[in-house]
Amino acid sequence: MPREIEELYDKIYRYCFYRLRNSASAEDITQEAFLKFFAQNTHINAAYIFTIAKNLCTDIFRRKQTEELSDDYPTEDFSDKSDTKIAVRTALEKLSKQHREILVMRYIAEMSVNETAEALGISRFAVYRLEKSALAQMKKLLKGALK
Amino acid sequence: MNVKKELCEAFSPPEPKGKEKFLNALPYPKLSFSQFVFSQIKYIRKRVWVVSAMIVAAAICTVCFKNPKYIGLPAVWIISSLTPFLAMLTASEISRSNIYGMTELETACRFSLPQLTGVRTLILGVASFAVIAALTVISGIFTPVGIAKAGIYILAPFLLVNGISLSVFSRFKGHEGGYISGGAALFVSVWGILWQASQVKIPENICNNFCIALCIFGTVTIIFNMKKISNGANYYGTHT
Repeated sequence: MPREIEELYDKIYRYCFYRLRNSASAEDITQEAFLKFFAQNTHINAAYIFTIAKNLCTDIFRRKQTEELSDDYPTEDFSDKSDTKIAVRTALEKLSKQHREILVMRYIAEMSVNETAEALGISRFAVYRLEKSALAQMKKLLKGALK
Repeated sequence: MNVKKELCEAFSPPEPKGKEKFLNALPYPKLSFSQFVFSQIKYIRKRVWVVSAMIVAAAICTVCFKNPKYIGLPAVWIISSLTPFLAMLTASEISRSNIYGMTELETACRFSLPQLTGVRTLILGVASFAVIAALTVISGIFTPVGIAKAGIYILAPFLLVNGISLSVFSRFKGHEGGYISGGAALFVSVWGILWQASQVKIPENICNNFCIALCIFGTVTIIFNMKKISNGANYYGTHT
């Protein structure tokens, strides 16, 4: 199996898990995104597969809003419960949607600048700029939380 | 606190369970590495092969005519004046995929752009090495200059123009890069010929050291710019 496909699988899975907080659903969405992509394409395009996964996650959220999924949709949490980790998670949730999305893609899904730019439909420069301001805000929030 | 590291660690998910099974069954396009390398040869423009053949033919003609004016070092100078054009074509071919997003990406889809650039560099490097080796052997055997000295004299303009061209292609996109690189190749080539024609007497050791310095400079520039091109190509594929 080519290393880049495995890496891409991991990136998309990490992103989906962040969005859905359920490993089984995250893996289902990751696999569905790959299958949907290869049903129509013959070459690898990370940003395209990522966009499919992102839309599938949004569909699940929409469904969650209209249906009661409390019992058959168990949510998991991240294993590490140390103070710093909790503070990081809380700080990330406080960021604006755009800043959060950039940090999730760049540091949680570990996507490259090119992939992030392509998936979000913005320039590389915009990714750098947003990333810089998001990190600065995170640092500020963490400084206050960990005092 | 390293926010980037903390972010990565704070959101680490559990290991995916069905990854291996799924990826093994995934109908992605399968192509072996050797098939990939050979598939890339046909995407290298014919002009590279034609110019390579023409340079070797011109070198053979230069030494075979045995014009007394062009025996010995002048013949090597003339042969080495041809190599900048090969260097320019090689550099433009290496940078081509990065600049335009080529169709070969779509056929060689399971490979990433850095791998593709690497394979193209390998093919062109082997081809250029063959041409330079042929020119060195021709010059070394048919002129009294000697293989080592002829090799340095032929390599110097080649490496210099290759370094300059790669540096230009990593900064300028599209046709501007081609024009600047062509200008550099022409300048180095004409400078070599004029130098030889001017009959300026320079001590041999100074001339040799100058060519060695050019070789080192060219090699360092090539390595630096290849790293840059490879980093710039760090994404998977392009849109259909």
